[in-house]
Amino acid sequence: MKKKIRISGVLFYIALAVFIINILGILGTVVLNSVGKEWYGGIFPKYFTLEWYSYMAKDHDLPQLLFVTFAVVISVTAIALLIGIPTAYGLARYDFKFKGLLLSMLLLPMLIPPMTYGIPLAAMLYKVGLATKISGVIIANLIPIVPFVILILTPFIEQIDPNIESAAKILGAGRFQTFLKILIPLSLPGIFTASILSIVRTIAMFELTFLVSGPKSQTIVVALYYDAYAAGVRPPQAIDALAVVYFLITMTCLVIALRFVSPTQMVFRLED
Amino acid sequence: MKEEKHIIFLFFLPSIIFLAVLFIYPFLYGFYLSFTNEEGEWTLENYLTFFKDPWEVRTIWTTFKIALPATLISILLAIPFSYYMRHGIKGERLISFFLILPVTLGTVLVAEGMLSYMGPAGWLNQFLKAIGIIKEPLRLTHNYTGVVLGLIIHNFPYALLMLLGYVSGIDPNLEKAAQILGADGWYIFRKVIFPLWVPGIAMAFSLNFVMAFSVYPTAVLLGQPSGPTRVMSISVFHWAMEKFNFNVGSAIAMVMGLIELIVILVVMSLRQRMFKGGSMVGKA
Amino acid sequence: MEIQRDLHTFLNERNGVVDTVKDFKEIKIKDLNKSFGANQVLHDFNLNVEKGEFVTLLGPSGCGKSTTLHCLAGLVPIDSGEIYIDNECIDDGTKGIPPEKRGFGLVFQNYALFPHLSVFNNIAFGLQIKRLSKNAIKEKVQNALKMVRLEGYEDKYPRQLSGGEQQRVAIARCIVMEPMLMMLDEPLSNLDAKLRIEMRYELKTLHEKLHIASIYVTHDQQEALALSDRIVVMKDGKIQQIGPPEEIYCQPSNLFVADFMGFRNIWPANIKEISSENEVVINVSGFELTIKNGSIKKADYLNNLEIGAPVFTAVRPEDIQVGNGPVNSLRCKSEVVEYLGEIRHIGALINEDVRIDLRTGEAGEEIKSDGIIEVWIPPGKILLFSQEGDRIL
Repeated sequence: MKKKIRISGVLFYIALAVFIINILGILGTVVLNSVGKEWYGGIFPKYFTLEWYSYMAKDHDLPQLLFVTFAVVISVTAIALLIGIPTAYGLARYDFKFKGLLLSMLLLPMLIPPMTYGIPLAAMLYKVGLATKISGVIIANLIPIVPFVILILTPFIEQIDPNIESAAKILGAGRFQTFLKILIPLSLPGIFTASILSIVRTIAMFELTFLVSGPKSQTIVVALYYDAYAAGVRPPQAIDALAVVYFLITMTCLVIALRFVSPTQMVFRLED
Repeated sequence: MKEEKHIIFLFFLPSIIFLAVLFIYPFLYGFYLSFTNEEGEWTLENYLTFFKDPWEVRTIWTTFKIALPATLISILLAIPFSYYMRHGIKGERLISFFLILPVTLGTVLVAEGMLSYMGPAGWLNQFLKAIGIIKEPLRLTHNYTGVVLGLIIHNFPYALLMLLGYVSGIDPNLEKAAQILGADGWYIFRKVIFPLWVPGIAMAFSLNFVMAFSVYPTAVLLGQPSGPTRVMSISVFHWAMEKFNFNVGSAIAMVMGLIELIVILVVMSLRQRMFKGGSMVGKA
Repeated sequence: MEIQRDLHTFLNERNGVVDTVKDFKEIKIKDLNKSFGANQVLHDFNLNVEKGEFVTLLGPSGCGKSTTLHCLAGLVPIDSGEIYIDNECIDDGTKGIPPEKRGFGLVFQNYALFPHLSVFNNIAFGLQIKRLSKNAIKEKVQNALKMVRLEGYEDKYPRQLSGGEQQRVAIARCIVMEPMLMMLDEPLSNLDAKLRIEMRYELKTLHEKLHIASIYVTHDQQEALALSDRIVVMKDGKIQQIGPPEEIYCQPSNLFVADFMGFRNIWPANIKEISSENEVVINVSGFELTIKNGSIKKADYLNNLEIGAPVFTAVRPEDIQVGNGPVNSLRCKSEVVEYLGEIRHIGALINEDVRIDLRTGEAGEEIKSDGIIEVWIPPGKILLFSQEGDRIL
């Protein structure tokens, strides 16, 4: 075997290492700070403690926060699947006049940043009285997730041989039965992928939740933002304790997600 | 078959309703709000409120000053990185994990972490002092630099993974073919890969720019939201959610959306002009 | 000879470009080994290709054909072995001349045309790197287009071309560089059946005209037989047999090659009697066959065979005669009769264990399925293989 060491390779790995070390540094600081006491410079805190976690749990009503977060995440994913599966099926199987238009309309909510359309949306939700409620938060989060789910599901359904459905129909299955007994089971991998990715995205979705939530309908990431924004009100260690809770939840979902999808799949990509 | 058409339409009905009610209607509603006052009368007052106030108009310039360098740096860094990674590399899974991490964790957590890590007594400044590069701690938070850095840490991996998706979709046989015909690495990059990559790069640039242009938590937490890093989003938020004036808030949001749209159109038309021949990625 | 003008004179005779092609006698590949991880894809691969020769690598997919080409081209580093052009070593596993300096050409299975470049610029790609003058490039591209009969296609883009046209552009892009060796990696496999035969014919014509040394990779035995001066049959990264098409077709050196070359009747058997040096009687479950074959591959082996030793025998369907013969007469019950135009293909049972495939011309007209037919096998048309699959007789 020959081993050539190229300058480009060395540069690549050094630069990458710098980036990764900084990411680890950012996360490490948060974790250490949340369990440390009297850290005024120096590499590590002087003492270690878990008191900030109990402080934070009391301060925030952590069970309520977790409940809202998971209620929102699960509802958004379930509703997005209900809306998305028929559309993904239609996009995978049929060609029609306005397909291009529908596709680009679906892409827009993913392309346009939430801060841009979030304000009119919030205005509308305030008008109909859904803002500051959990249902409002769920509705707002659906906007980028439904198109996302559709785009992930469509290629999975395209891969299913249409003849299998025809075979089922010839054997006497109705349209609904075919859908339920053939299509859904065969597209389970796609449904699973879409669910896990939508969960990861919804947990981390800040802007939309931020704009439409009230004190009782915040998710963890929004609570974290308010804490960090109002730094000084509470000890920074308590903020970092909440950050660690958020970090652990997101990480768990991410690690599960990465067992099934590649990281490039998690980033939006548009084909010409 | 007539009946068939109706059934096809039924498949799309839920998402059409979804789009209409949750996306198109709010947009139109925002558009309407931006041109009316609280009594519902047509007026240009909301836009004038924004454009007449130099303090507000300056947010446009501030936002550009943050978003453009952050996006350019992210993309320019991401191009060589993703080019190097295009055929897969050792430890790719681990590397991608670290890349996807800041994207997934989101801007709030990254900003919160950066506040301590890059703060005056944080690890970064301690390290730089220890190896003797600096004497006084660098000021990397609560200012312009902090916001740009925060955006890069979030956007660089995003751009990298996106560009990687495009470049690894280019048929690797094209490179081999060019190599056999006598091309060296630089020639292959210039004449084969880059032209085929341009649509992807333009797309990645546009999306990253739009993301950076609507920056909110990073600008608030890592910058000085009442001064040098008062970006458009902060202004929008201020009017809509603090003063509860959705009319002016919507007007500024419309301006913000328009600027984003213009930048995307400019980038796309540049791309069209640069390479007329091919926008097709070579897959056989 | 006038007909055997070689490539560069053909391309250069009118524009007076200085001769840049290195003259050479043969390309030698010695003991080439290549593994991908734990999977060894090439075992001690040896092959010489002479100038002007058309050699085909034939084998099922995954047998290492394409890897051989990529190793030769320098696109994949080799583990060990040497590649020579005459006496000059261009790769020995430690240092290899980079692909761009080898002077070889490669036509890819998926053509690998540059989608963003016009046909002209695709073909001119390599010439532009060589920094030839604009006029010389134009002249050469025109000539190459003429060779592949695509005059007037200069300004089209690959996506506007049909599969066959793309194929020709890929070939033009290769020959315009006047390579010492042209390698073609399953170039016809993406075309439909009719076009494949047309392109095969054109490839042959092109080779007759230009006489570029070529290595052609395919899994289609028809293509290999039609095009090649020599065929290399490969399996699992090992060469099974090298020889001219007739030899490969008629005298396969082992059971794998026989199977690949259409010996559809392969039966296990036992030695019954070794009558003379080249005459053997074997027992195939329930009937006897006499083999009398002029070419003895393994006389030692044959002499040491004991009566009753297990062997294999192989017969081509088209060598089986219908009717009553002097020897090796068999009665069988036809199961399936397939009408194939000129000929009929009949699947029949000799007994419960042994199936026989045969092809008949007009003689088969009366044969119905479920009928009893008399057939015989000429003793000279039966091959005998050892239990390990090596050819004996």
